[in-house]
Amino acid sequence: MSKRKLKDSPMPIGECISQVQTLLRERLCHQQLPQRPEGVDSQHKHLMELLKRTAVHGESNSVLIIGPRGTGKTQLLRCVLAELLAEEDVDKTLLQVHLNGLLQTDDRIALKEITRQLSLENVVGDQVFGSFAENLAFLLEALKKGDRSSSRPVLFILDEFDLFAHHKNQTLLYNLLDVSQSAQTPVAVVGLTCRLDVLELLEKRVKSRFSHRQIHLLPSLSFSQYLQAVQAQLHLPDTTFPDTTFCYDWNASLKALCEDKSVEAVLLRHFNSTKDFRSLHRLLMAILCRVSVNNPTIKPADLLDASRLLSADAMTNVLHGLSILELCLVIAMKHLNDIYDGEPFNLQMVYNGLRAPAAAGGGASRGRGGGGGGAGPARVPTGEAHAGPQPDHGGAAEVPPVPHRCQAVGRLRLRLGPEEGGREERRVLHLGLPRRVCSGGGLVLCVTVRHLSQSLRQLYQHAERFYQGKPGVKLVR
Amino acid sequence: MTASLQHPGYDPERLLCVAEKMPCRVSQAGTLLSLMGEPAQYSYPSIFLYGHRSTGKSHVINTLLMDLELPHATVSCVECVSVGLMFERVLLALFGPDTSTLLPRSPSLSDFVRIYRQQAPLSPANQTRYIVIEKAELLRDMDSNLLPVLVRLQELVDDNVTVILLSEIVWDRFRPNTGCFEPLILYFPDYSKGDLQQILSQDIHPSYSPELYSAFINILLGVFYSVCRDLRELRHLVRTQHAQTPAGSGSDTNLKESDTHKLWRNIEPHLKKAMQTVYLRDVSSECSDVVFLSSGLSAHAHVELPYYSKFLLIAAYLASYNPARTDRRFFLKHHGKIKKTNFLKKHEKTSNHLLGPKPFPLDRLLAIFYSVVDSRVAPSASVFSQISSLVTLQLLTQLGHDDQLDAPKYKCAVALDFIRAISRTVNFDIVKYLYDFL
Repeated sequence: MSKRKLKDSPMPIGECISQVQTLLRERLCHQQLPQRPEGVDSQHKHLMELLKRTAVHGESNSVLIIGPRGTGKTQLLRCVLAELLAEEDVDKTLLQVHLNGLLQTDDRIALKEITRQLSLENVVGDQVFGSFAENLAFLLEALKKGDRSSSRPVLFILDEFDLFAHHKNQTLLYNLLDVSQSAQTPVAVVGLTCRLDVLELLEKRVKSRFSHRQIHLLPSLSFSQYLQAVQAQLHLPDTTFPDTTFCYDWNASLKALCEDKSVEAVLLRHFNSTKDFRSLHRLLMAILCRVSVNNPTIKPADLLDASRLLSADAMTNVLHGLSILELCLVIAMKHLNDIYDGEPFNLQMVYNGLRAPAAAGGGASRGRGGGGGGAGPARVPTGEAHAGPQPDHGGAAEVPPVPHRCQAVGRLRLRLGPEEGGREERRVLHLGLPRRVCSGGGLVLCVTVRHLSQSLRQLYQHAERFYQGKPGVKLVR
Repeated sequence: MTASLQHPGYDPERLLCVAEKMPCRVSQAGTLLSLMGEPAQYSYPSIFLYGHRSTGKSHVINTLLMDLELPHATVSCVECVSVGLMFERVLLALFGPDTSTLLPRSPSLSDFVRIYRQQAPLSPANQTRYIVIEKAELLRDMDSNLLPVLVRLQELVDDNVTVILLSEIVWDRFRPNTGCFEPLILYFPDYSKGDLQQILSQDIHPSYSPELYSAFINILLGVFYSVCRDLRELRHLVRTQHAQTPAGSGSDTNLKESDTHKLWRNIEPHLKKAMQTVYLRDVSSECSDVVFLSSGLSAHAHVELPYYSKFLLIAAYLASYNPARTDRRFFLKHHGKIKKTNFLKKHEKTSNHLLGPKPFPLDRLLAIFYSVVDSRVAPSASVFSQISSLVTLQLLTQLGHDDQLDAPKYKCAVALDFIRAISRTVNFDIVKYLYDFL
C-alpha cells in the first residue's frame, strides 16, 4: 500500500528532468546495450550460432562483420556475447581476447596484449617477458597443444580489422587464422571492419586460411522505421521511471512531436543524408541538452534548432569572422585560382593581384566609365564587407570580381582614385558592383561614409535613392 | 546584455561569477554547460570547438572547468612533442603522480588505454572527467591513430570521460580516410564591433575618465576593425597607443564634441604608424619611429662593393630572373632571330619577379659575367673569391650540398630596387636585359 503511494506522489519537476537526462544520456552517449538490436535478427542468429559452435561444441571458426560506420557492429557483437555468457558453463570456460587495430598498431604490441589477456605463464603482473619470436612461439604452442574436448575455447575479437592488414607481413593475422584452421584448441576469430573491400587487403596465404564467412550490416531502414526508432530512443520506460505522471506526459508529447509535419521534414532531411544510428544519436543528444526545467518537454522548435546547429556550414561561419583585409586576400586568391586553373601561387602574386588589378583582367573598365561626380549606379551586393573609414585614402584597394557561385564571398570593388577631369585632387569613390542582388544570402553591405568628401556624399544619396525599399539591402551612414 | 548561466547541477552563485568572467560569451558557455550536463551524468564522448584566434575558446572552457571544480586535464599539442608527454600529462592530472609513473618509457596508445582502464575502477568517477586538447590541428600530424582513438575514448576505456578538442580549423579537415566517430561540433563566432568595444573598455586605465576612454576605443576600433579583428592584437594596440597619447588631456573638463576631435587629431599620426605593424609586435614604444623600407637601398645602403663584385651581382640577378633560353638573345652579339611563339604558355603570364629567383649553375653566371663586363677580364682566383664573399654577405645564396664542389648552384637574393641602384653606379642599364621588362 505504502509502495503504491510513494509511486504516485509527484516528484519536483527539477528531479524529474534530472532523471530523464541521466537515463537518456546513458542510452545515447554511453551506448547502453538494448535488449535486442533492431533490424538485425538474421545477423544476430548467424553470429550466435557460430560462436556457440566454438564455445560449446569446440569447432574453430572465423568470421568478418562488415558494415559502414555507426551501423551497430560492435553493438551486435556485444549483444551476442552477453547472451552467450548468460549460460553458466560458457561463462566459465570461454576465454576472450579483445584487440583493437587503432590501439595495437604493431604485431609486437598486439602479441603482448594477447599474452597479457590470456594470462599465459610469461606474464608477471603486467610485464611480458621475452622477445617477439619467443612470445609468438609460446602462444602458438599453447594453442596447438590442446584438443577439442578438454581445452578452453578462445575467442579473438579484432576491432578495426583492416588496420591489422597493414602490419608487416600480416604475421598476426596469418598465425591466428592458421591456428583457427589447423589447431586443436577451439579458436574463433571475429573481425569487425568498416571497409567493404577488406578481403582485398589480405595476402593470398592469409585469405586462403580465412573461412570467407561474412556478416554484412547494411543500414536498411525505411523512413517509417526510422521515425519509430527516434521514438523508441527517447521513450521513457513506464515501469522503472519513478514518476509515472511525468513519464506518461513525456511519452504523449513525444508521440505528438513525431506526428508534427515540420519535425518529419527535419528528420527526413537527416534520413536522406545518413541512415545510421550514430548520427541519429548525435541529433538526439543535441535535442536532449535543450531539455531543462524551463523547457520540460521536447518541442518542434528544439528539433529545428538542433538540426540547424548540426548542419551549419563550417566554411561560411569561418568566412564570417574574417576582417576586410583578409577577405580581400581571399577574393584575390580565388581569382588567381581561376586564372591559373588550380596551379600554385605565392603571396607575392596575391599581393600583386590586390595592388594592380588591371593585370587581373576584365571588368575594371566599368568603374572607369563613371566619370566625374561619381555617377553610375552604386550597386550593393550580398556579400559581407564592412568598409570602414579608410585612414589612408591614397591606397587603391580594388579587388577583382569573383564568380557568383559562392554565397558568402561578395564582389566588392572600391577604387579611390583622382577624378577624371584632373581639376582638383578630389577623391572619388567608384563602386563598381554587380547589378543583381541575389536572394538567399541575407548578408548586407554596410558602407559608412563618414570622413569622405562631398562627391561621395552625392554618390551616397544617389545610392540611397536607387536602393530604397529593396529587400536585403541596408545602407548605413 | 548580461544573460545568466543556469544549470541545476551547479551552484548558481558560482555560475554567476563564471558568467562575469566571460563577457559576450555567455551563450556559448550556456550551450557547453548544457552539453556537459550535471557532473554525474554521461556526456557525449567528444566535443569539437572551433573558431578564429582570440574568440575565447580556451578561456571559456578553462574558466568553466576550473571555477566549477570539475576533474579535468588540459593538454596543448604544441607542447607535446611526443605522444608520451600527452599521456603522462593526462594521467597525472586525472589520477595523480603514481599512475603516471606506471607508463613505460616511450609509451604507446595501447599502454595508455590499458593503464587508464586499470585505474578507472580504482578511483571511481562520480563526476565526468574532461580532457581538453588545445591546438588540436596538430593531432593530424602526429600518429594517425591518435585522433580516432581520442574521439571515442569513452567507449575504449569504459569510463565517464569526455574529450574536448579546440581548434581554429574546421572539422572537415580532420576527418580520417575511413571515417571516425563524429564529435559534436560547436562554433565560437567572432566578436562583433560592439562586443569588442565592451571587452576593450574593461581594461580601463584609472587615470582616464570612462567617456574619454570609450571615445578612444571607438576611434581605434573604427580605424583598425577593417584590418584586424583579433582581440589579442587589439588589446596590444590599445596598450601601446595609450602610452602615446598624453594622459589626462582635458580629462577634468566635460567631454564635448571638440574633445573627441582633439583626441583624434592627437592620436591620428600614431595610429597611422601603428597600421604598418599591426600583427608585428614592437617590443618598445620607442620603436614607433622606425623608418620602414621605403627607399631603395635600405638595409644594404652601407654596403660598398668592388667593381667586379657589382658586375658579378648584376650577372647573378640576370641569371636568376631570366629564363635560360633567352640568354642567347641578350648576351650574344649575333644571336639571330628568335621566333616569338604566339602561344604563350600559362606560366609565362606570371612575371618571374613574382615567382622568386631561380637557381643557376656557376658556368652560366660566369658566361653572363664575361659578356656583361666591358673590359676583358682574366678568369683569376680573385674573381672566384668574390663570388664566395657575395655568398657570405648573403647577397647570393648557395644551394645544394657543400660536397658538390664541381657544380655549385646559386640564387640571387637581392630585390629589383637594390640591383637597379647598383647598376646605376656602374652605368649599366639592367632593365634592358631583363626578360620581364621586354
